[in-house]
Amino acid sequence: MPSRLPLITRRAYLDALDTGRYPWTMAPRTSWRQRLRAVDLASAAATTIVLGSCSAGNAGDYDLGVYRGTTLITTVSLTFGGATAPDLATAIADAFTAAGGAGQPLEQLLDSATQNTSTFTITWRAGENLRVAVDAQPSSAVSVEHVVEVDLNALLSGNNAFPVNVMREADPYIRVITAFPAGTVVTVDEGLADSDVLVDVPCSAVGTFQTASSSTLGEGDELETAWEPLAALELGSDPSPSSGELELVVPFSPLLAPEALP
Amino acid sequence: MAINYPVKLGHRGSSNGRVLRALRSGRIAYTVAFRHYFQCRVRFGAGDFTPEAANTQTIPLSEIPLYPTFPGPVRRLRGTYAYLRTGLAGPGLGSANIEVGDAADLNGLLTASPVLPANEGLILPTSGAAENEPRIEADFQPTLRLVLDINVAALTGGEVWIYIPFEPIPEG
Repeated sequence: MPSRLPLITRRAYLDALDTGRYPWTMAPRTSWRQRLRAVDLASAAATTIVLGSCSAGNAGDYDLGVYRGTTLITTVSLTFGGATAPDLATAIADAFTAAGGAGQPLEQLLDSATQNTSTFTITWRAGENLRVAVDAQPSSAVSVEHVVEVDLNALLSGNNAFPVNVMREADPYIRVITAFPAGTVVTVDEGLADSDVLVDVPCSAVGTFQTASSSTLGEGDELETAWEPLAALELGSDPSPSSGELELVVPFSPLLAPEALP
Repeated sequence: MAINYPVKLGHRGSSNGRVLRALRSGRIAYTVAFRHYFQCRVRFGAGDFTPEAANTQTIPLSEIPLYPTFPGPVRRLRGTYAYLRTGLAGPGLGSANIEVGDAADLNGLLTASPVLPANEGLILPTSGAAENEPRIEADFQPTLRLVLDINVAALTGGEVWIYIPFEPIPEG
């Protein structure tokens, strides 16, 4: 026979918990709340990534400006003589790699520049919130957009890191307090494949939003021994919006174990 | 017309005291049900259950002494896990796994998980286990299934703790 529970009218239940008449350990659901503001996108917890795409391999001269806000830092120029989009993506990645070499203008700013088929990826060093704009090209073949990844555990100097050894519960959500620019969406994951708990949630309007995808880890409870959430904001042409603030809310509950967990 | 929740939640636990006071006073007029854990410790070679001279054995957790049985009716929740405090030991033991479920589905909550000394610590939940999704249980009888390469009766040591989350449901 199963054990009978006290009726959970609120007072009987709370009294039973209080007096120990309820023999099963309580692990109440609580919420981890982490704010992310536009200003955090230029913090040491943030990494700005430029995602470029080449739709054709048109020969000619290309100028890609690197800006901090509206201030031009340098222009990466190349003359492309090839014929295919992958060749152009390779040439642009190579040009940025060269500009990040010793003694070059991007030496202290560039982390890496890579190419994959007809796309290229420029990753700035942490805290370098830089924008790339295609200032000149022979025809409209190259486009760029910006993603800023923020290590949510590193914000606020680690004072509000997600706890270790807890049960992360289903259905996290975001609360947009101040709208980000139109079209901005946020994904929360651990930077690994199949680790997302929120996917492409719009944050360009004030309100409370859940994930638009049904194929994420956010659907279920997961035991987390060291969860390191990253928020990736897709920001289009400008990685440094002047305003925007959201709060990520992740429900979780403590674990029970016969001895202290590390 | 919508009614605002009577307590405003604050940051980092600052409002928890207000919530508890509001629950006690009745200002929060909605039934509260916390997440709880059914827990059970099973020691091997220590008399917690009668071992069989077979390589596999299904142990009803309700028969383990000292621990309250799984309650009912409740809503069993996702995330059954275990903690291996001491890995299983016995002469010639080379393979040892546990499963958690019930008589109808022996690994419905936790699929085969190794419990040798090298595996001591948390045994993570099986997200895809057949019975992992929350459900109402009126009379759930959890079981621990042991699969070894020696007789269960030959085990000389080992200690595993099973945790099954649930929440009470309103009655009356």
